[in-house]
Amino acid sequence: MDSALVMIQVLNGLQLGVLLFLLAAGLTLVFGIMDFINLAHGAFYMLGAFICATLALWLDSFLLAVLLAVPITFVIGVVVELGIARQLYQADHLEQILATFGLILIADTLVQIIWGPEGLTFALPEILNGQVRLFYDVEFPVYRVLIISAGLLVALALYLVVSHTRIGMLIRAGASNRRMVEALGVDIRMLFTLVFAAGAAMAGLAGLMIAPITEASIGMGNEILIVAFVVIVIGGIGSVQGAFLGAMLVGLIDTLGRSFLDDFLRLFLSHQAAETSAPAISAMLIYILMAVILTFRPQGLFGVRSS
Amino acid sequence: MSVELEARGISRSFGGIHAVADIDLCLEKGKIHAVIGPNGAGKTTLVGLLAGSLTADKGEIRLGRRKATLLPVHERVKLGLGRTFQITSLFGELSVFENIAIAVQGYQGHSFRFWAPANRKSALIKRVHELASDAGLDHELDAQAEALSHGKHRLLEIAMALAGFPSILLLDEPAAGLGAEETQNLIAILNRLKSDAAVLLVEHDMDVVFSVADEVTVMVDGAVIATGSPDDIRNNQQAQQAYLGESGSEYA
Amino acid sequence: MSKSGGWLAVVTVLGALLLPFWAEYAGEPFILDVFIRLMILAIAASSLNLILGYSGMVSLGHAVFIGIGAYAVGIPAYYDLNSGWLQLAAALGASGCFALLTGLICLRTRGAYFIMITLAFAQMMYFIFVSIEEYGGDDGLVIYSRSEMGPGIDLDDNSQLYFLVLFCLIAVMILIHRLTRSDFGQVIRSIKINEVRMQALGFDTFRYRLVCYVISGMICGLAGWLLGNFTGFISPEMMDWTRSGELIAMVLLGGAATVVGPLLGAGIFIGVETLLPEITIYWHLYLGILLIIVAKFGRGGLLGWWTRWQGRSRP
Repeated sequence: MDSALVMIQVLNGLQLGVLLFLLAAGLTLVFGIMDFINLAHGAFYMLGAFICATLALWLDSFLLAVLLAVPITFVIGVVVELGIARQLYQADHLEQILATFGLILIADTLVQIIWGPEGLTFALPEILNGQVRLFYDVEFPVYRVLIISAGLLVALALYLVVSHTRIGMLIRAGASNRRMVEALGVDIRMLFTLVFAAGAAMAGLAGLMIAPITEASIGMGNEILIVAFVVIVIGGIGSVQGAFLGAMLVGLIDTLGRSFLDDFLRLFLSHQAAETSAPAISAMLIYILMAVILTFRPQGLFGVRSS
Repeated sequence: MSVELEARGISRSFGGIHAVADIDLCLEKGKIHAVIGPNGAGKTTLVGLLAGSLTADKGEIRLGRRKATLLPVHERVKLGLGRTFQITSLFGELSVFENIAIAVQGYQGHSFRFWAPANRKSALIKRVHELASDAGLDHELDAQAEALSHGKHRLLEIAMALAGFPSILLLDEPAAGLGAEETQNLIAILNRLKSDAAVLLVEHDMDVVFSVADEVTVMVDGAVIATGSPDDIRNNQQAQQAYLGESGSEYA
Repeated sequence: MSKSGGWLAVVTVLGALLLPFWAEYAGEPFILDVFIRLMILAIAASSLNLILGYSGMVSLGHAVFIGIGAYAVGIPAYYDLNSGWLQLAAALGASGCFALLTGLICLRTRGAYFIMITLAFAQMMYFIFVSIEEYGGDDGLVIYSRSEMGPGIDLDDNSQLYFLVLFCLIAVMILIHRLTRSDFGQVIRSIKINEVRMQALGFDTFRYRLVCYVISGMICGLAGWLLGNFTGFISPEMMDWTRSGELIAMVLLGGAATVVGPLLGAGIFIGVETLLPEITIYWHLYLGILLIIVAKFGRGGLLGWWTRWQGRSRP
């Protein structure tokens, strides 16, 4: 097992972690502050990818497409919040699940109507296509480095906003006790819209970043959304720190597990047994992690709910 | 004199606030032990600690001879503990009959019976009627619990707590919101209860406290500032200052 | 049950019994397929209703039991073990065990955490089965003959399978009817209303909810066993979380916490799924809109609406 391979997989794990964080951050805040379970959050991931792909093809510029796609997704988030999400904050979780499940169907069909049933992909600009030499003789695709950097930057920015600005303070307060914040006379509804739309924009950013690698496709957000749910359960609902730590943990464990579990198992089991059981066990790893954490800390690592 | 519940050195904090600090308490069968104190004194926290819905940070609780400090609520109930809640906690959508019936069912061992319809056994029905008439609710058995007046809610709470023939009763402000006649009714019920159980009575209504209590403990800011017979407390300067205030002079 | 309700039930059961004969007479064997699927989903939805409607436990991973039940047909069949009784025992046993083990963890959580952890466990199973190449993985497992139930019973004959499914559905509905009215049912329903109070009355609420969860899982495993037989093709898709979402939709469409609700809900859902695609390929859009409308305005589902409508027409 050579160290370069391990390094590469660590980087891949970080990449997955960063994408998960972008998805999970919005999810956990919306959940923590507005008590709103949004199964359709993955739709923003999908929309970000499709919009960016379309813009990149029209404008022939990846940079422009990204710069436009993120604000557009933000605006879509605002519209969805005002039109639909807002009506559901008072409803109980069951109704929210039903409604957002319906939203997924609507979003997936709309994408199908607008863009057709096939996926959409676009080529990256040449400069992003190469490999870059990192330490220890490790060669890693430039674009993936960019994804990781962009994600970490957003994480840093979010951290600064949440811990050093007034808005951030309101967000943290709202996450642990919404009614108190309302009682303080803050126009809570605008805060909700902002948080929801910001979450949508981050999800869209994640989607558009991965699209050149995996293509933009219908329903692409639904599967990764579940993993985002695991992340926020592990991290604690309402906590951005938790979402970050959870996302990194899940990204690394999942990636490293898939790559190296059979090697690891071969230390105790026969070659045959290791090879057949490894895929199944590596699929289970992040859920086992979740179960273990919930057993000792039912509210997640940084859970802030006051209920 | 049998000691049904003994608490020693019970403490509980929330963050930096010492809701209950180092409390000793003894409940004996045949006696009503009242706990009074201003709002925020920690009385309801104390009830929660004794009942098991809150875990103590420090201290020990014994029910009879059993160590109960770590036991969950339902196990303490099985050992003979019953409680009522400060804020009425019933099964609103069910009828009064069903409310009392589920309480009786809880007492009758396990409920892992999956086929026969519930609430048909004559022994259970009889017991429900008994409890209802003791509480004066026998004309309301078919009414939806939610629809009852506040006073009747408090009575229903007590009826349900009594279903299990408890040897220890923790009553959290049963007189809250009751009118004059209802309060007299409650006093009569409390006097009847005493003979079978050790009763802890958290109350603000001094009429009730001084009519029924055998012992009174005064709590302020989580600690006990005085404890003794009702007369002792009436004459206690500290208690008067801290709590009885102007109304205390009526009793002096 | 009211008198008119009783008559309605008799008529429905009679109609159901006669359906295969009519289908053959009318030359529309496809009708049987639709109703078999409907009834199987009604069984699954009924099992979900037990924990969701009656006990207030919202599980977003209930379809996992359908998958477990189906693989309990597929995996033995893969090894040429075609005995239906063996497969049924495996389905009930495996679902029961899975419900017990995951229940021990899930039921310690509440509300939103519970929803997500049930979702997570179902996805875990989905990925496990996807990764087991031996049993088809992503491509699924095909079985070549349905369960062997003994001499004289041939499930490969669609109408015989139909009667088996019908029998199971009626049995499940009677079971749930009795269960929810029994002592156990009283406890479960009261826990949903006020769990703290129940503990203060001496009930070990965790244990009761766990038993309810296991029973629910096993009934759903039965549905999976029937489905595996019906489709002859078993894949991890059967336990995908969107399947679980559909089950929730069925329960809420028909009316939660009622015996008949899940059946009605399954009926509505299958009806939409069968008829709407004839009108437009974008039928998912309209289904989505329907779900949103039901979520916002449809308290109590179809049965709730029916009761309110009845109440209005009486002075």
